[in-house]
Amino acid sequence: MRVSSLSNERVIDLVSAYIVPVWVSRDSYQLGPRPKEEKAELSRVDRERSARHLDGGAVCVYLLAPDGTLKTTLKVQKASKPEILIPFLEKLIETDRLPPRQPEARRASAAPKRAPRRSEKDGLFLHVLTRFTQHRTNYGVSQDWAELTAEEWRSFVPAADVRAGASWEVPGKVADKLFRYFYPPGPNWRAADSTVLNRSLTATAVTVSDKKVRVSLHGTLELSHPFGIGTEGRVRAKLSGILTYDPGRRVLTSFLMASEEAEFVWQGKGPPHPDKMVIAVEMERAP
Amino acid sequence: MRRRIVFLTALACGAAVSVWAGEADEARIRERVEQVKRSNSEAWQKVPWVASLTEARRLSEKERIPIFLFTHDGNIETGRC
Repeated sequence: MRVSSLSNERVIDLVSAYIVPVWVSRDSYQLGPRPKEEKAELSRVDRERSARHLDGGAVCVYLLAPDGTLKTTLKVQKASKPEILIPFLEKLIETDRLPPRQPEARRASAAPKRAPRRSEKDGLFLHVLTRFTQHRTNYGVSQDWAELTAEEWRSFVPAADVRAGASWEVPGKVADKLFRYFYPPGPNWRAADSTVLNRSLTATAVTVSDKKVRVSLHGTLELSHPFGIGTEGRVRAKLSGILTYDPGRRVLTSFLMASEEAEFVWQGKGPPHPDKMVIAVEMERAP
Repeated sequence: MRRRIVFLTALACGAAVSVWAGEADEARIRERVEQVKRSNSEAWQKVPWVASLTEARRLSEKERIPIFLFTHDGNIETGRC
């Protein structure tokens, strides 16, 4: 729904102007625990839906009246289609004769943006983005942040006396902290389900001076990540990257990596389904 | 002497090509990263989502308007859902 109906301008207008919009992740993945009151309220809504035999499921739209009563629901198979969700919302607005909310009220009630991530002392975050390039379903772009300690990211930079042309291997356990996120968006989003089967990551000092060291990165990866329940998924990728390091200040000044070739093959009970994908990594800038 | 000049010229050309290739690689990698970032639709974030269901209930009651509750698994903010 994120990249289908919830990105539709008409849906955005209706949901923003006439209704109080809220999303709830049932498993709070990457979000931390939810307060007890929130859980209790969602359970109440679920019980009411079940008692009234309305459509439901983990991914679902619910309309609640101002007194909390469940008005109706729309399951994801329908709600993800703007041509169904738009008339569903228009009917509600017309039936309830809802006036548009004041722009100030909308702005004031919107949740604040999350605070930027802060790494431990001298650590850094690498922002990982992936997407399919030609999958029949648009899953959008996934984002993860791999946190490396100072000791870990320093394995990407050369020793002080290095000469241009020297190469070294980035330790597997450091590479794996990044590589475990190199799976496409899809029905299984849990990074904990990733297993690195094979990988290499070679760093080469390209240019070296007192002020700047440029390092190229070349790697390969084979990663197991189930696409959904009862299926196997396999990422095979060739990767290139480039980073710059300031030896005077002992800080990374840039880090970029992208897949040269990447494929995700998922296999259920039938034949394998290969799909091209792309992986991109960028250093998170300090706020 | 002539052989030495040819060798040094070849070496300089090789170094120049190597530097150029490095910059071209960097530009190519940067463009690929930017392409993926640009393809990330964040239109859904234009909706003024409130912070929690309990806050939505409070506002709904106060403004006398319904709630649009979207439930899912995973994290909608990161596309891991």
